[in-house]
This record gives sequence, structure tokens and C-alpha cells, in this order.
Amino acid sequence: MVIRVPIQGIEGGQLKFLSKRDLMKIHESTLDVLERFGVRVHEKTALRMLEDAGAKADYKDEVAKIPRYLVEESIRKAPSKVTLCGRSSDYDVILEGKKVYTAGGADAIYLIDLETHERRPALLKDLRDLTRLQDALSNIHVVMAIVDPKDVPPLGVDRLRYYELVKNTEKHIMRDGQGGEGVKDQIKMAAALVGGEEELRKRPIISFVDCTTSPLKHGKTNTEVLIEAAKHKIPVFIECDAMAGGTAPVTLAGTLVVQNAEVLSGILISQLVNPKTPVVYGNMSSIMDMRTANMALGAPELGLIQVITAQLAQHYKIPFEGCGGMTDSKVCDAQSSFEKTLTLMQAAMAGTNLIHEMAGMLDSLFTVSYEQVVIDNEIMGAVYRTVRGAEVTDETLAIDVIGEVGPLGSHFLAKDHTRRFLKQEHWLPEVLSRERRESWEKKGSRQIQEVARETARKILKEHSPEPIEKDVLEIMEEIVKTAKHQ
Amino acid sequence: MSEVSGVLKGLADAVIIGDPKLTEELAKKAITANIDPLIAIEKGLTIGIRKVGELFERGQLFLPDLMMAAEAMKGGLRALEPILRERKEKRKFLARFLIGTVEGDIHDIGKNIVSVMLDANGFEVIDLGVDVPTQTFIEKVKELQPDILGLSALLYTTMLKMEEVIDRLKEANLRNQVKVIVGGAPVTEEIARKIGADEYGEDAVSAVIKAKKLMEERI
Repeated sequence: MVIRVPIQGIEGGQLKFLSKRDLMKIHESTLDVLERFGVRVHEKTALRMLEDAGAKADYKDEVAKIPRYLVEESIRKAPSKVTLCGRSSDYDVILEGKKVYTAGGADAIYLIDLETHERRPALLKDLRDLTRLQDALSNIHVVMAIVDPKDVPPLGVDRLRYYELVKNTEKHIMRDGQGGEGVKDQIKMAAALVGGEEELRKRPIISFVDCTTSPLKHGKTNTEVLIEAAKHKIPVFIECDAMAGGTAPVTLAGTLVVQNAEVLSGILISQLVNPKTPVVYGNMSSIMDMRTANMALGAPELGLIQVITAQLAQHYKIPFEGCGGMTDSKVCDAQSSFEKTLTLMQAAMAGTNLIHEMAGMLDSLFTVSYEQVVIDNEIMGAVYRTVRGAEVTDETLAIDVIGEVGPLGSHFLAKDHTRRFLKQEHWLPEVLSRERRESWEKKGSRQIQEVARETARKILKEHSPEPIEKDVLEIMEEIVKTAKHQ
Repeated sequence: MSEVSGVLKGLADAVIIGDPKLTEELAKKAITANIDPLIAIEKGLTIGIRKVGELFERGQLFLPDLMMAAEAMKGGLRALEPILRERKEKRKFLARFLIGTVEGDIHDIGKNIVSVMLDANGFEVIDLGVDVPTQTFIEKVKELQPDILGLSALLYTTMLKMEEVIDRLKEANLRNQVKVIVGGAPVTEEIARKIGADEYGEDAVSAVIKAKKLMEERI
């Protein structure tokens, strides 16, 4: 039932807030912060590498003060294009320029059950099913471990998650690693799939995420992930999740400086480990809600920060990962639809190369639901349609057809022109209702959640990705089983 | 208004507006005016921080107001505590509350807010900071004999450490002498129960309510 749609890069980036001059102010302030105050690097190898390159390292406080030339050099060195491959090449995506792709949700610990509609801890079966569901939906391009299943042993769980993911999708998989060993093992697993590590570098079907800790810190586990991925020259995302007012200044400009300092110093580390390591500038910063101390994930400021960060990354010519489609609403309702549409729209109009957390997430990323994955895929369709804009050519101006119908005619439905341009010009929703009230009532007055649940059920019943060969699976299983480190 | 009540009101107001320097200056003025430092704390600083706590709970003040009030309170105490020590007097507290973020987790915002709210509500808060090894929690419980131990975690993965701390308290025969409250984004009532904590604080306000409840139960 699922027709495989090869991924097409659609260009966004229509929205800009800062002038070149203001962007340069943020850039200059960032270099100033790195040089004068530095960043804390809780990982000795990275700290040593920074020192050897010319930074002033304080081993007691684990702080590196980084001269500006080092940072600027690494910005120039970092590749301007990062390719993320799928198991099938139909699903390859190339992050560059203002092309907009998406990645599904990540790491929810609860799930709204498809049948009982109750919230419960997410299980391994949900990881499999939700991955398969995302594999089938055409506006989701990259897949992450959308849930953190409860029914698995803690040891080697990152390897197990990768194993389950790769079996259930042919799309590119973006992974977190629980330290360097986890990254190493998952690279081995991916290499087994594509025929060796050299081949994996050419066709990276896996990538890793390193999250910095605001303000101005590189944590141990995450830096290990960064170093290990860079050693193998596997794409790595360096993502900052600062909270304006909490872990960064309350002003958006100040938050952008803190974020930029963290990500640029991370990019520097990646290029010191291995020059030309494919690295992506990552951002999930927002404001801290000053009533609850929670990060506001559906906030307009999140999208604003993102548009400006995209401008910065585009200026640096470094691919950019952002986020959108998150919500602080606990359920699928008016608030979730409002926050999701707002932030996805902002992300796409920013020209975010990879919008992650795009599908399925509710409840400030704590909960996921099957129907929400389907609904978000739909929202993204509308967003894509918007950023595609309108094309003006002789053919689309349609003077001839206008003349054929003319002031005396009544419609354009029977024109070949209409049929020819329909799919390109009109977006056709799958789960939204556009019918008249009577027919909607006749079909049971179903709200969007119900329709989406039915779509999810149908996909889960009918869709499965290409299976992986048995001998490769065995190699992967062995790595999962023998994992000795967390 | 007498001079004494004027100074005390000044102290409370300085805490409410969250000005550490002004609070410290006024505290020094209280000392020169021969106001008992315990009175200055209880009828001045504490009144201020409690008011801020109330207004925060009601959504009329925001987190920066709360945190600045706590800084102001500290400013006042900086001036008053040396005198208390000289006189060998001690502040009266509802209970001693030991708090920290578990090993592997360096998030501290939530924990700090809880600390301030507890402080505002009359608890003696001892903060062990972030990334606190399980062994340190055990040693500090032994050494400081807190009434309540508060464990915080933001990461799902580090939440497991909370259980470890509770288990080790049991092994060290300390579990009966200290109540345990857990909190942090991934923690729920159910998890708290499962890992053997006494209470779960959903946010700073609820942490204070639960802590008070635990102390009432004890009596």
C-alpha cells in the first residue's frame, strides 16, 4: 500500500530577521566569549587537543580559552555539505544550503496507546512499530529512536535500539551514543550492513548527536560521542539546547551568543580530531518558562532563535539542524496543533536543513502517540507546500487556458492544464476533513485523531521495509549481546 | 513606626525587591541599632522571602524574582550570621534538608529553585551540588543527620541513580533515620514509589508541601 517516494530536497529559508551587520555582532561577541571566558570541557582528550592547537587550557577547572583564529579556521574547514544516507538510496538526504528535510521524534518515555488511548510507558514493540510507521510516511526523512523503551536491560541499550531501528526503517538513522564505546559498536553494526567501514564513510547510514550543556560546557559522555564519531569521520550533530533566562541570558541575542560559543567550540573539536569531519550545527534552544522553570518547546521564541541560528549557519556555510513540531500540550488538541504548525512553519522558513523532533511528540517531548506521527506528517505536508511558493512561467500564468475558457466559460476542470499542474500546485491532505458537514456526520463525525489512528493501523498492518540479510543481522546481534559498556 | 519595626520592614522589603547589597547594608544597620539578629532574620528577612514565595506560588512573581530574593536573603545573612556565631545562637529551622543532583547529572536549576522555596519556608537547606556520587550522599547523611534527603535528576538515565542511593541507605542502616523526596523532570509518583522514596515533589511548590507533610507525620 505504501508507495516509496524518493526524497526530494525542497528549499526554504524565506524568513530572515537579522541584517548582516547584526549577524556579525553575534559572531564577534561569540569569538570574544570563547577567547575571554572559554568553555568547560569535561573530557581530557578534547581539552588536551584544544591546548595543543593553541587554546589556553586550565586542567583544574577544565576550561579552555580559545583564540579566535582557531575558531574561524575550523568554520572554514568544516564541510558545507553533509550527506545522510538511507539503507535505500531513495532515502538519501543532502544537508546543504537552504534545503529542508525532517527527522522524527526522539526519546519519549511515555506513549499514548493506539487502542486504549491510555498513557503508558513505551515498550520495545512501540519502538519497532513507530519506526515502521515513520518509514512509511513521506514527510519524515530521517528516523531517530522515538521512544526510550522501558522493557530492555540497561546494558548496551543504545546498540539494541539501533538494531531495532535499522530493521524497521530503510531511512537514515540519527543516533545518540551513551559514550564512546556505544558509538564504536553502532558504527561496527552499520559497517556490517553496508560492507565495511570505508563503505560506511562513503554511504553513512548512521550519524550521531552530541548535545552541549549550557552555559558553555561540553559534558563528558557527549564529548566522547563527538570524538568517536569524528575519529571514524561519521556525520555528527553538535546541538545546543539553551534556555533563555535559565541556562543562557534572558535576551535572545545573548542566548544566541552562548549557543554559538558552544556549537562553534564543538565544531572546532570535531575538526581537530579529524579535519573535514562532516559536522552539523545543531540548535534546540528556547526560552525557560518563568512560572514553571520548564523549557517552552512550543514557544514562538524557539522558532525565532532558530531562524537567526539558521542565518548564522548559512553565513558559516555549515549545514544546520534545528527543530520544530514540539508542543507543551499533554494531548493532541488545539494547543498542540497551534504550537506544532507555528514552529514547523518557522523552521522551514528558516531553511533548516534538518528539522528534528518533527513527528509524534507531545507533552514537552515526554510522550509520543501513533496518531500524532500521522498528523504531524500531514502538517509538514502543508508546510512544505507553503515554502515551495509559487512558480511564475508562461505555462503557470496560463494565458492560453484563460483564453480558452474565457469570460463566457464556467470552469477549468476539464482542461488538460488543470490535470497536468494539479499535483505540483495543490497540496492534497490525507487526514484533514474538507467535506461538507452532512457527509462528515454520515461517516461518523470523526475528528482528526480518529482518522489518523486508522491510517496508523493500516500502515502498521501493511507496511514493512526491506528485510536485512540474515548473516548481517547475526553480526549485529552479536554486538548487541556482547556490549560491555553502557 | 518604631525604629526597630522600620528596620525590620526595610529588611523584608529589600528581600522582596531582591537587592543583596541593600539587604546587607540594612542588616548591618540592624546590628548597630542593637536589634537581636535572630529577630532581624525571623521578623525581617524571613517575612520577605516568605512573601516572595507566596507571590511566586500565585503566579504573580516569576523565577528571577524568587532567585534574586534568595540572593538578597543571603546578603542579609552574611552580615547577621557572624554575630549569631559570636553569641553562640542558632537559627530555628523546621527541619534539616539535604539536597543534591545525583551522579552523572549536572542539571541544577530545578534543585536550586526547590532549595530557595524550602529556605523560604523555614527549612535548613544543605546543598551538595550536582553530579553527587552515591557514596557522598551516604556519608553526608551519616555526618549531617538531615531529616529529609532530596534527590534530583533531569535525565532519564540518571534517574536510576536515585534508586541506588536509596538502596545504599538501606544497606548502611540509615534509611529509617531520613525521609527521602525525589524530583526532576522524568520522575513520577509511580517511579518514586517503585524506587522506595517516601515522597515525590512534582515542582518546587509541591516539594515544600510534601516536605512539610513528612515532618508533620514524624511528630
